[in-house]
Amino acid sequence: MTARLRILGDERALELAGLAAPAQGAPGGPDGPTVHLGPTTEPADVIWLSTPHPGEGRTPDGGVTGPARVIATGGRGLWGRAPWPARDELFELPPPPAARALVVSADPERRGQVLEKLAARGLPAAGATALSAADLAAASVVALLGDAGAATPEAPAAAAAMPGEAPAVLAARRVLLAPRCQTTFGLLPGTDHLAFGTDDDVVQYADAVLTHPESFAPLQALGARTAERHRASLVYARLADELE
Amino acid sequence: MLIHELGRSGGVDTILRYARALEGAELVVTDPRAGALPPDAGGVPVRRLADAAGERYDVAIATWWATAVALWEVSAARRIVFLQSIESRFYEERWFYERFAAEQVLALPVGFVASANWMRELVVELRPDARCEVAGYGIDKAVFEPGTGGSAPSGGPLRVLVEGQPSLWFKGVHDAVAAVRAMGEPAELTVVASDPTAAPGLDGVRLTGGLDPPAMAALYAEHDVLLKLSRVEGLGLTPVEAFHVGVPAVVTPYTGHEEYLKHGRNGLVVGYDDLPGTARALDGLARDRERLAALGRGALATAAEWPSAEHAASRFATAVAELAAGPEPDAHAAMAHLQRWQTRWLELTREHVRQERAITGGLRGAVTWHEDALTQARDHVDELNERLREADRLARDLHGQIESIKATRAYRAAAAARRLKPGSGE
Repeated sequence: MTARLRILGDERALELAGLAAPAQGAPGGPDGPTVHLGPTTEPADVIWLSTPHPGEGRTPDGGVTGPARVIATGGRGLWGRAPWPARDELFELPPPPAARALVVSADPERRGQVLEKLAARGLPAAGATALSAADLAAASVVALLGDAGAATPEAPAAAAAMPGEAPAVLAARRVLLAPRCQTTFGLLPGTDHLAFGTDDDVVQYADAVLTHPESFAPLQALGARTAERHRASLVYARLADELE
Repeated sequence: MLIHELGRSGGVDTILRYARALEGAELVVTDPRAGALPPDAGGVPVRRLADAAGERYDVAIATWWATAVALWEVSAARRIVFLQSIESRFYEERWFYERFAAEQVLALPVGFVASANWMRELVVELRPDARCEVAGYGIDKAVFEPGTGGSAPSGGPLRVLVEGQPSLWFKGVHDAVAAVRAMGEPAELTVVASDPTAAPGLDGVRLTGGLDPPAMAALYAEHDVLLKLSRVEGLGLTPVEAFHVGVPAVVTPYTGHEEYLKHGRNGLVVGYDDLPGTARALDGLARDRERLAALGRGALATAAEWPSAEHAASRFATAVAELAAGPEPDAHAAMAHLQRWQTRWLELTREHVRQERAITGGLRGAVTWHEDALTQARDHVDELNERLREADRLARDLHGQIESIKATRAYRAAAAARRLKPGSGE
């Protein structure tokens, strides 16, 4: 008998990393262990952050995790280390209506600078503080600015981890631009996504994708295969099995 | 079959087995630097590419991206690429040009034989014009079977076998070693590699390798679980070998694993880069020997369904025959794909060069800064030396003046008077 999970979180989190309907072996029953996507002060069996864990007992927004098991992209005292799963429905997302870039960063100044540079080239682009399913649907290339440093292919950043929403972007077959980082959770830079070290790299990559979208088909196809490793129904089924 | 070199590896073993299944097959070695070649390998005639110039073949089969260039250097009625993996994925980001070259084989006007279903699905998606058959991999059932040696599952430390070449980044061997070391329960660790002499950073680890199939079967049987945390695989056959011996596996969800590993039935799937989760999974098996035994039974059940080496070779021969008998590949469609993909390679190459220039520019700036600092430091040293020389001159002048004063009659008289003064101590 496999445990049934209750996946909780805000609408944005559930649309990217939740589970729509109970599937065999895993999902949402009223009495099963709870998994909360994103920080919370409410009781939960597992708290799953899309960011590094800022420290035992604390959450990025100042909340308290309490005794819950914490899964995050980095940090100390973790129960598990992983990005958010990719919601199954994202794998079926239709192509965007038009070529457009989405620049995601919680830093408005940095986001604005990248958007300005894209606009200066006449490239269609939008910005967001955090990735949402609606923004993802409208984009053909998504830049998760994350914690980009001055990393190079020869000397990747030592501490940075892939942003937790990266699998969702690959599942939707959007071209992913992500910071060059050491911990990639199975993503392969150059093969299933493009890794950048500076914001100028982001602008150049976005320009290439928006100008020649059909040439990036292999990257998108391999990206979708990588995202399969993070498919929500599979990941939650394994988690439910362990929490049983 | 075009083969880059005749080394010992799982890939070469497969090529030899499949070549034997083809009537009248030859192995043509494409690496011009290859040393002395045997007249045959496992009964299959071997020759160099240069020596195949006058031959006419029914089918030419590339077996690695670097051999694909030779497809048009031999005379053949049909051309096929045998995909044992999507080889561009073997190259880290910094191996920029090799990655593009490896990807190029997917755009050639050829037929494809894939070794796993996921590769066929990828080819069908990227090249709907091309034909792609699946041959799969088989297991030598006479070698890999239960009770081939070793000991029964113990109640002592969990005996963990890590398989993979440590020097290959995508095999995740160091991740696996770290996970075993992070376990709370007692464990015994063995790493088996194709070349154990190239295994940096594994001090204190029991390391073995270069084993033939019977020795591998015996090694599996000496362990409770196989741990394989690869990031890139075509199929990853070693867990299937272990299954045949009754040993379950803990694996990352690399491409191909889904063709045999059923989580909770014959093994466990753990996440990439999830050290705590992997250590916890191993600890769970160490504590719950009944579950471990159940996974072992599941492994044997999967093995019973898995095709034999002969069956897979036969499938390969059938796939080649069907592609050879079918219509010629659509060269126009292939060229269209190649052109489209080349646009990306061009754009990304341009960007790669820009990034390298930016890095070089940054390094040049750093070099200039250090050169300026060195010049300033040298100037300062010169200035200090000049002052030292000046101080030396002053010291010598003072010394001369002192000696002159000492030579005066008045000084000598004063010195003598001091000597005569009572209590002077002299």
